[in-house]
Amino acid sequence: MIDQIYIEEAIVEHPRARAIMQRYPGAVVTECERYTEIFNRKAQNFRLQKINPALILAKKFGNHVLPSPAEYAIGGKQNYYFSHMLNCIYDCRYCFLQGMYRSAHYVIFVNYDDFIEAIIEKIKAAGDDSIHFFSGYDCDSLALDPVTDFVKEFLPVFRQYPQALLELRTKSTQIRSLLAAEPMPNCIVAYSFTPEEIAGALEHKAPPVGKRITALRQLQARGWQIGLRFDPLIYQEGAQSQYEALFAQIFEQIDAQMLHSVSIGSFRLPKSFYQSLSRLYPEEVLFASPLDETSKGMITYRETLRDELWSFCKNALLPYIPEDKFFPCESA
Amino acid sequence: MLHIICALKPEAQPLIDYYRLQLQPKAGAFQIYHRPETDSALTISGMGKSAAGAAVNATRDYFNSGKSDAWINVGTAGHASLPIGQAVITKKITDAGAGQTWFPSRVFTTALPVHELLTLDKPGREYRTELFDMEGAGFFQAVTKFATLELVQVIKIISDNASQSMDEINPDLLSRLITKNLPVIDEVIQQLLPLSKKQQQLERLAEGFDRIVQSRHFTASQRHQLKTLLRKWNVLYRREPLGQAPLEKRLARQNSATQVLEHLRDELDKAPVNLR
Ligand code: SF4
Repeated sequence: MIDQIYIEEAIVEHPRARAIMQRYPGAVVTECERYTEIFNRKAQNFRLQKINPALILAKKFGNHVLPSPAEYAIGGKQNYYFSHMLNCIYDCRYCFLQGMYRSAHYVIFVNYDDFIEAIIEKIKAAGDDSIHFFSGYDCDSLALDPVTDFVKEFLPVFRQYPQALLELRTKSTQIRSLLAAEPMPNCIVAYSFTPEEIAGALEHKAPPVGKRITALRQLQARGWQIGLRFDPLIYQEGAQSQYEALFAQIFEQIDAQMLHSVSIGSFRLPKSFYQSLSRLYPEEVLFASPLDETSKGMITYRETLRDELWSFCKNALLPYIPEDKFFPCESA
Repeated sequence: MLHIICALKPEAQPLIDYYRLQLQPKAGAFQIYHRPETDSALTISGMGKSAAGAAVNATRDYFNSGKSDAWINVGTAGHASLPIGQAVITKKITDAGAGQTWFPSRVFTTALPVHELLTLDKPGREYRTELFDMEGAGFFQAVTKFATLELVQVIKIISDNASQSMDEINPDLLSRLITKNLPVIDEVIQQLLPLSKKQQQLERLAEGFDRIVQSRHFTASQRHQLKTLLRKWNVLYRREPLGQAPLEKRLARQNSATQVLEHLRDELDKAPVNLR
């Protein structure tokens, strides 16, 4: 429950900011000049802030749409991401946001029009190239949808431009607005999974695996394109059989032939993020696992362990899906 | 550990009595009170933002305090309309002279009203919608240079307003205002303390470090590696002790720092990884 809201002075009258604030009538509201006065200041502790994060309403200037890391590509020639929100209401222990930001507060950029304008510009400039947009890089795309109205505001843009594809990456079961909308072939709802035993230990506050599968099934039945993301792959004793069971559980309930894409990726973090995370959670087994630094400065599982789990998962997945729907992420 | 900073003795006295703090001899320029049993302390800063900042630094040096300590500035302030004796927690602190602003980060819920605070260089008589005092910004600026933002709070008790001016403030009134609010001040402190304790525990995960480095020579880099390895060891083997002999006994058989580190790495390689 949000009980503190910070808002930039310049947007106090913005209709979206006002609508969001109305949802939290009891919250203490504080005005600031720029959201950066609160977000990411020195001396903040992400872990402590996560106990009771505040909501920050801000306006984003510039860089509304950025090139996305090549490893996230699912077949598009041009790939971009955009973040109408920073941070997430869930608390996955492996989440790189904890290493990227000092603050756990949720920032919502209310100037959606500027994001939309930038998206359209990129689509027009792409010409005949296939162009993909990813939301859910700096946040979970759907987790706060009832508050942000993200789906309602952004989907119509992609309806207008069927040549552009939008991926909503999520663990959320907030799918009411998607179920109410007409499905579109150029929007993929991609769910991230780890096996129940791992999710229970690491994906704090996120919907349980079973509920995510139910949401996937409902979306697929309604006609939405769905994707599966097993990224990051997490190791623990018995991980292989746990992943095997997870794949069986998922493919028992969804139509694999109608899947848009499946991707897997090893657990990896830039070294500086890993250092921040292991300082924040020194008691966390994940960060005491057998990890190594790669030549690219990433921290990932020791090579043999990483490759073993990766190959196992790949081989366990391929019997379920056509190979052209499989997008491995190799970036460590 | 908890540090309370008060500007004046009459404001501090009720807290000193309540927390049974003892004046520390040889504490330097500031009067510092402490009770080791409860890990709490109070420093009297004197008036003004520079004094508040200097008191924070002196307290930090005296106790060698780290990032896990909690800090609270308790004092009095003026406000246009809030009733005399009302306790308030601050959400934004502005240094009126320098124009700088800070936003305290509160991770606990409170029933106290939450207001902005303006710290003035001289006593002010112009009552406004923000609280005003003379220490808050000095305290906050100094403390957030080394402490953790979420463990720092400023509580002010209204001592004067538009209908009861500051001329009526006297030492007795200040003490009465703080005494009346001891329960709410303590409530905030009791919310901060567990957070501070938890942070302290996390810093102590490299159990055995001091004893191990005492008996052999470790370079700075080896000390760092040892701390990391011990922390990992304590995490991975917390439920499944390796063999009967305690780790330190096994390490005692290693002659050099390099061997100690190698031995620890070996044991870590064999450790089962169970995330729960
Ligand atoms: S759901 Fe995604 S964005 Fe949210 S905490 Fe988990 S990994 Fe991070």
